[in-house]
Amino acid sequence: MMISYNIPEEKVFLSGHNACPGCGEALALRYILNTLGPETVGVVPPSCIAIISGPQPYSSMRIPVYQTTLEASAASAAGIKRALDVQGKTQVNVVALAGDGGTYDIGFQALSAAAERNEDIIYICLDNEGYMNTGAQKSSATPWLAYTTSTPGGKPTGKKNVAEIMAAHEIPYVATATVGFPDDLTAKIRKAKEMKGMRFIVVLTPCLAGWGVPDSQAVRVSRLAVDTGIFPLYEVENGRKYTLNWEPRGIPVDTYLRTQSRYKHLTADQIEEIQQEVNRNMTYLREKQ
Amino acid sequence: MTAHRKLLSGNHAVSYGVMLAKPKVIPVYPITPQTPILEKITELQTAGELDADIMTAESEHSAMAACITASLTGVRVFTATASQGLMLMHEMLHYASGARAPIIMANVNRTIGSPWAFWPDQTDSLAQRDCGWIQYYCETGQESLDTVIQAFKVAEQVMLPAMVIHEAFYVSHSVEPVEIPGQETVDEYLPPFTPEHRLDPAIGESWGNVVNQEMYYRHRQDMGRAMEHVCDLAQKADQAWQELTGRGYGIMEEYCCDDAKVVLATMGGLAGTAREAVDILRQKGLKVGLLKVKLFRPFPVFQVRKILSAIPKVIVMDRNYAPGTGGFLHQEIKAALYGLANSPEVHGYLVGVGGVNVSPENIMDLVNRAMAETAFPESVWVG
Amino acid sequence: MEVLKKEIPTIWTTGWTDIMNTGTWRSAMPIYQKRKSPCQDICPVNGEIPTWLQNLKSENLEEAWLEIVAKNPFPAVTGRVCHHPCESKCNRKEYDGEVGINSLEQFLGDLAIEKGWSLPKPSQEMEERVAVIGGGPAGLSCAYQLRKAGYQVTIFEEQPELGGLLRFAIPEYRLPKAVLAKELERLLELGFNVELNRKIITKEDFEQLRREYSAVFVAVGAYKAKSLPQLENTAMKVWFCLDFLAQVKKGEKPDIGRKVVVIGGGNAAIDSARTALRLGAKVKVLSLEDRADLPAINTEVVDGEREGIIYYHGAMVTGVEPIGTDSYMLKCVKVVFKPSDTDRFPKTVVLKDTEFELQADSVILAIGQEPDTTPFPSELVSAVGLLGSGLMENQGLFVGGDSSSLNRYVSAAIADGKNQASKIIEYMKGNKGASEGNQNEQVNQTVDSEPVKFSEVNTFYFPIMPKVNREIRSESNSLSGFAEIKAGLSQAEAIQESSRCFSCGHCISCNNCFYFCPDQAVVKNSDLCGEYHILEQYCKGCGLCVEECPRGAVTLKEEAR
Ligand SMILES: Cc1cc2nc3c(=O)[nH]c(=O)nc-3n(C[C@H](O)[C@H](O)[C@H](O)COP(=O)(O)OP(=O)(O)OC[C@H]3O[C@@H](n4cnc5c(N)ncnc54)[C@H](O)[C@@H]3O)c2cc1C
Ligand SMILES: Cc1ncc(C[n+]2csc(CCOP(=O)(O)OP(=O)(O)O)c2C)c(N)n1
Ligand code: SF4
Ligand code: SF4
Ligand code: SF4
Ligand SMILES: [Mg+2]
Repeated sequence: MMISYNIPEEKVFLSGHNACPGCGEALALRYILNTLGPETVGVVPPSCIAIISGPQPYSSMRIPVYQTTLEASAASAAGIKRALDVQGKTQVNVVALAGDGGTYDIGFQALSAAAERNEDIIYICLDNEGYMNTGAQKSSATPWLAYTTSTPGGKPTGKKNVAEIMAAHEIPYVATATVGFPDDLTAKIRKAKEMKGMRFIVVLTPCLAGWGVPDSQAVRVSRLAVDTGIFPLYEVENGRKYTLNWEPRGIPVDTYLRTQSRYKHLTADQIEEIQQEVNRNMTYLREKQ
Repeated sequence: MTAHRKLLSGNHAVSYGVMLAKPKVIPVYPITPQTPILEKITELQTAGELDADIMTAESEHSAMAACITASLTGVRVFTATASQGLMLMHEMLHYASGARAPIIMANVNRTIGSPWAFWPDQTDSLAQRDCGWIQYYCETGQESLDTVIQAFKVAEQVMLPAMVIHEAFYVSHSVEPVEIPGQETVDEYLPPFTPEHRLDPAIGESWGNVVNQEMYYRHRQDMGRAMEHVCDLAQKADQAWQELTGRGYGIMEEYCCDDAKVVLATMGGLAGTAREAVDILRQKGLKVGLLKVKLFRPFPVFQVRKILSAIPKVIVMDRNYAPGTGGFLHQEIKAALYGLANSPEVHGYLVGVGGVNVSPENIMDLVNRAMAETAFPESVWVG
Repeated sequence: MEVLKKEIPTIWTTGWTDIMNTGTWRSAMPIYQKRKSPCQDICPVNGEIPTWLQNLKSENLEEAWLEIVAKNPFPAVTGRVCHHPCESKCNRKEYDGEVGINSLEQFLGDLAIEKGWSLPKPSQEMEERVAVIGGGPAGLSCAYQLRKAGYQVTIFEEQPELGGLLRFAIPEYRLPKAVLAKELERLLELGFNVELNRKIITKEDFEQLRREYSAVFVAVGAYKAKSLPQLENTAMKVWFCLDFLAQVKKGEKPDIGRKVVVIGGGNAAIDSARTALRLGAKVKVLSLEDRADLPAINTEVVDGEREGIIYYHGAMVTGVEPIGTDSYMLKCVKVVFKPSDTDRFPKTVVLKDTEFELQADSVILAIGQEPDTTPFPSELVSAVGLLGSGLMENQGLFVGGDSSSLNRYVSAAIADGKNQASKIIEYMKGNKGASEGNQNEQVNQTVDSEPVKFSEVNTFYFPIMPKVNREIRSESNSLSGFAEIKAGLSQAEAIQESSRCFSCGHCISCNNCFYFCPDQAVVKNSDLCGEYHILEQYCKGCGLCVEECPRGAVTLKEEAR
């Protein structure tokens, strides 16, 4: 049979935004916001998301959005949720939409704390594996060996596993998702929306300029990330219950790496090492199920 | 409950002021010597006397971040900090005023590291004087309680955040009888907070999107205009409070200034000591007065010029210090008097920096010293 | 406080980006385009394969069938005997095996017979009369298309029954008579004059027809057997394959002896050989061509081998010697022979020292046939002895099928009949000075572009799913009779198999282009189900919709700015 999508959408994300043509992040925002619906308040730190959300007085998000500082997304979101709750507006979703830099790095303290307090917010990290807004520098989400403007020889260390770290907080919901699987992504948003407490979703969103990918390829690249096992789609409930949502098709990592110029300097040995690492990670993940 | 008296530390007095102002969200992070404020608030909340959501943030930075958004979401917000906590908040202090969030924050003045120390010193809050916050410096627990309530009233009119400041231990931990006003009095004084713009899906407006140069220029101008109204509004707020409770402080206090030949100028707890010194010196026949600056931001330039215009000598006592520029109040007063036809001679003395004790005798010595020397342009270390 | 209000900040964000015109960034714009699938492109009748497969998948069975019979009135026949080049070109072949188009065509053809579905009736009646000479697939297809358009058609057929080689040559075990009979019966319901046992013999006879009819279509097939000089001076029984097959189809049992050698490499040769097997003979097939170059349908060759035929590819007979009274020894040699499209008589190179002998009681010759052109004007006969297509069209004389082509397949014959019918209509309209009918036909054509390539198919959307094949009936495995060998697919199998189709170049409203646009520039027309358009105001020309269309139904077109 054929894979096809049927995604209920309520138009919250608007056309006319400033994302690059073919931007994976814009696509993710579309699914996320149109799934969350209009009873939502957004929090956006400096990132490409902030650019996409529009220059004053025009917003691409038909909900109130508060643009916060790079490190404060989780705290800012918590402040809004608490203020809504004390006003009795408990039905409103509060969603933080932050980049990987704002999540894995500078915003991690606030995030971890919000998780520990089990703040009633949805925190979504749009992970484009680098500080793209500032011109593609490395973040701790940048994978091993990837070229960035601050790691011109390739990043010497690996990608932080933020989903596992968040799962270790034993919050109600942690999930990974990506734009190549919009049904999975939106299902996770819907599921998160129905839950209470801290919900964390990391969404892999290919950055065309930052990764060196042609305009039409964001979705394909994101799918390859999943089907190679580099970015498995899974969810963790209460830090315990693991579910692998898509069985990777076992495509060699090489196929994925080749789609992006940030990896073009890789040697065959390095690619093999990445393959081994991915195999190991998949084994660990399967064992957790 | 109606007004009643209680023996309270300065910090607990603040907590009662907060209780009466009924903030709805209180994100807060502990630091000596602010902790009693936090503890009392939590106690009052647990006892059901304060209906607020207390968010135990993991840092002052996050506490302030949450304050801003909670305020923008349309509720009254309070927090408290000191010293390093305030330093960590720095980025968010600007963010708060830019967002026009009328947050009230108590700051308990304490030395800033390094090295580590825990003493009363106003440098922490004074170093934040350019963040767009209103700043009140208080002398007693009673004043701090009253000022918290007044600050909400003023801040919410101009949509700017305000700090209510008193010094570590001398004020924060010294216990005095404090009158706690009745809730009805406060309710009558302080209307509910209902901002026109707020984060609300029913309204749909967003805050913080990138603006162009002209918009930014205009926004800063707006903030400046709002600040310009503060002296007047603070004055009125204090008067109204006085009418209700009998207690008023003005935005500055002139004590025996009318015929004074020398006026001591200072802020916070030192004002109390200075008042004693003035009394003694007056008994000795010296025409000395005191100018206690309570509202430091915005700096009441016109009032200062008016009060000090006919005074030959002003002695500014700073319990704070900025290397390279000296005492903050000294700088501000000199700047305020600039260009005044018969401007007084302004002596700036660095007393009490780092919390060293300043006695009435020390102050009398200072007066004598000032009488004997011509003023230096820079602040002078004493002792 | 009132005074202040006016001065309180004005820079909340209150407007929306949908007033922006991000379309100005674009240098290319996606367009929706119905494109040719490779199967359709190669299909002789230009069958709308993706469309009917989609209908089949959605279980709109009669609709699917109607889509086929718009171009081919005999799906139950072609579903069995078509050489199905569509499958060889199917994009899915490069992935996990071609879609079984042929078996699905059979499924729908058989279902229509079972359900008694009718062909669409002529929507109008026209005065013009057309003569069709030859009642084989070419003639019948032409007659059908003309009748559909309302014309009056008379079919002249030499034999007592219609069907041409379908009836008198293709063996029962591949194409049961009953199936053909049902499809013919249904066709005839449309109303034709059929003159059976009526052979056009002389030129006068033919000219008479030309005078009586507005146009004439000639599709008389090719029945003149070629002979082999090496076998001419022998007493050995040499059968002409069509005679042999026709006798068997009529239920007779020709005496071919116990050992039979079939000479030839086409379908006629394989059919003769497999028929001979069923009459109890041991059969060898000798062909000039190498295995790879055999003109016969490969599955036939394979099936024959499975049944016991022994092949001698790349070989020829050089002479014959009797052994005793009833049997003979064929002298053979290995050769190299390359069939050619350009050279009608390609060279045969004999390989030295490769002589061998085959014993035979009789030989069946299946080395090709030529049309009998006696009754037709000499201007109509081409240099190679075929009726020349296009030679006398301006005089109302049209030709098709085996008699005018070496591309001898049932579907090619049906295609000829169909295409010539539209030329005939054009000709007759032209005579009347009107031609709007043909323009209508044009509108429904797919855009004339390259067929969709496999590289344009986004295979992510199609999980691997092996082809469902027709099963060989166990009871017919014994060679004991002529029962049909292959069983058609069940409905469940057919639907499953049809779901494998990529629908190359044919939008099936899967919504991918809609869902993957980061700018939400693709909109569904809510009132017109299944239609999409691009909002030029927003489209940035990224090409994601193109990339994510699983089937190449959206393409990017450069825009000059
Ligand atoms: C044994 C065999 C097996 C085959 N198997 C396949 C197969 O599996 N798949 C495939 O695609 N193709 C196959 N073919 C080829 C296919 O059958 C022909 O290409 C196709 O039938 C041609 O159709 P036609 O209408 O042009 O000619 P025919 O089918 O030959 O029909 C011509 C008709 O005209 C009639 N006629 C002839 N002369 C006159 C006249 N003077 N006056 C009136 N009527 C006349 C004939 O009686 C006949 O009915 C096979 C051919 C043979 C011989
Ligand atoms: C405190 C602070 N430091 C640095 C910056 C500059 N800055 C703006 S965006 C950004 C990168 C953010 O990266 P990420 O969160 O991954 O978002 P992306 O741009 O990739 O979407 C940085 C470093 C800032 N805004 N604030
Ligand atoms: S996949 Fe379908 S449309 Fe494409 S070539 Fe094959 S049968 Fe034709
Ligand atoms: S995906 Fe959207 S923006 Fe990109 S080319 Fe297609 S319609 Fe245009
Ligand atoms: S993506 Fe789907 S809906 Fe869009 S053109 Fe292709 S087949 Fe049609
Ligand atoms: Mg990033």
